[in-house]
Amino acid sequence: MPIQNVTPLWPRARPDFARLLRVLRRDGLPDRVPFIELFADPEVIAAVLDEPVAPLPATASDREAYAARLDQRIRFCRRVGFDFVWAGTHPPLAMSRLQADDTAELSRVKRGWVNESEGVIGSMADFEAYPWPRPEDVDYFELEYVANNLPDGMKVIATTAGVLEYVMWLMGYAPFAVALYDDPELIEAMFQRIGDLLASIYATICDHPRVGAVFLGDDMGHRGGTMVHPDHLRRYVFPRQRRLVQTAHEHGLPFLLHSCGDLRAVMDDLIDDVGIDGKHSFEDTYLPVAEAKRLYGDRVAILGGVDVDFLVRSDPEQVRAYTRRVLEACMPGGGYAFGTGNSVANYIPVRNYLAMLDEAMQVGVYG
Amino acid sequence: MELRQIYEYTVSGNAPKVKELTEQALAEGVAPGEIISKYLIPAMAEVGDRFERNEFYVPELLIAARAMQGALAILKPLLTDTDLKPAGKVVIGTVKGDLHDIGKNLVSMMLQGAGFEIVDLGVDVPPEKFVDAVKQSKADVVALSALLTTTMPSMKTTIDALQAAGLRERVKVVIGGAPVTQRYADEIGADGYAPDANSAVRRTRQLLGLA
Repeated sequence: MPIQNVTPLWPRARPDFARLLRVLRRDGLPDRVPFIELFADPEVIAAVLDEPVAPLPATASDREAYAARLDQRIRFCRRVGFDFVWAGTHPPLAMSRLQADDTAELSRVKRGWVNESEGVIGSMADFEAYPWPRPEDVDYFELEYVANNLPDGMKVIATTAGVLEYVMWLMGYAPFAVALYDDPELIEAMFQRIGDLLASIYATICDHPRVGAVFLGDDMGHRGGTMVHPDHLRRYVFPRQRRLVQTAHEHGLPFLLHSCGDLRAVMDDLIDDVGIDGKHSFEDTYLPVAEAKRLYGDRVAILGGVDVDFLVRSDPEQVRAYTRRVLEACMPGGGYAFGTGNSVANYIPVRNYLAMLDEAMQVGVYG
Repeated sequence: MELRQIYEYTVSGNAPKVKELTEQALAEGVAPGEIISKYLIPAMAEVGDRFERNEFYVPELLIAARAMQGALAILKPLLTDTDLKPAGKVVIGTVKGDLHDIGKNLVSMMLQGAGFEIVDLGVDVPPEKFVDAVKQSKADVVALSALLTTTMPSMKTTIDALQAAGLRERVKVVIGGAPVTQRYADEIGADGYAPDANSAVRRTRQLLGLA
């Protein structure tokens, strides 16, 4: 279906990336609170569009199917009033994955997970034998396609997974954690390799004229704190993230960080040393977004924050009331974009997601 | 030898040293139960405390647990019935539909470090498997883990299955995991909730009247 045939849910909400950029740069007040997400699951996208889910491409080289999925995504972003469309770059890194029955409301039958207990690289011999992709092996079709089909007023937010994430996914979290002590040489080699790969990707995505911001998904925490000791993050992770931030800034692009978990122990590092411009992913159990805005809102943009667990287990009226409380706390002074605390997963009831957006469209207007 | 070194090397996660010192202590005639109760269990309690104080993180906890397990592998076959009674028996697992096991493994290790006997059912565990394990092991406690909002309802299903099998009054149920709260524990009729591995040990001990 052509992109221009999409009916926006809120017709007056015309896309304007400058609105979001003002928030990301904390440069005064926009006309209304813009929306932000790292991504939405295809099942939610299709439900919002009232269409069947575009089939999953059998391989990344099945361009027709891939493009059909991206068309749906672009129409979704237009329909729900985003000022951007996200586009991921996924280097071909083979990993160990598991599957379980998908119990979501919009189930995809099986949902995949990275194997936490066992990875594909456990030794220097594995590292040497691993088929590491060269920079020219990275496929930018998603970015190019989205950029070439952007609705008026929008820009691309280019997303990638992160430094710590890729290392943990390739090694398995538990073996990685132990190797921090048993095999620091392997750990250093892994971070160096992933850091270099991401740096080469950033050089390309930041150079694209239709990219308006970059969004790194790098989960570094759980509800009780960081995944590893802050000193390990400072030694291995932050220098590589800083390199990506520098590339983004050299191209005049804001750098947004999505990281789950309680990162309060390292927020000063992330803001002052790594140099992030926006922080995304909050949960009420450890840091409600209103508290994050109070603590860090004068130093970085605060993004999203509607607790996903709450979204899943509440009704639309409760979601609306919650939305009003979040906006009341986070709107003053600007520097805030509205969205979920993590992503629009297929286990979030669509009626609740639409209720939170609708309420924000009504309440999130600056005077 | 200085037996206290077993404690110190366990805390710092030096598995080869703990193994070496444990074998040395046995050779010098120290009772296996004494090594466990005076050095390994206090060492893991210290590790848990440091984890709660954000001095230790998951990697430090994992290497300490590995050191303890290395020593236990030597000591357990040598224990007689009168040497050391387990603090209790815990059936633990990640509930149906959920494949995440790090949190469950950490709780399991810390409970083991506190002297509990563990029956670990793994991940994606259906309610009936918990029921069977409780029947067979005569466990005192069932510990349920879930990372996902969507798999949390399996905790309630499991508690309902224990009830239907007439086992609910015989076991305490403790739950934990990223989206889990005390409120949810109250809602589904669990006996306890723990936000992290160390407090899971504390809560389990409280429920069994050991603390």
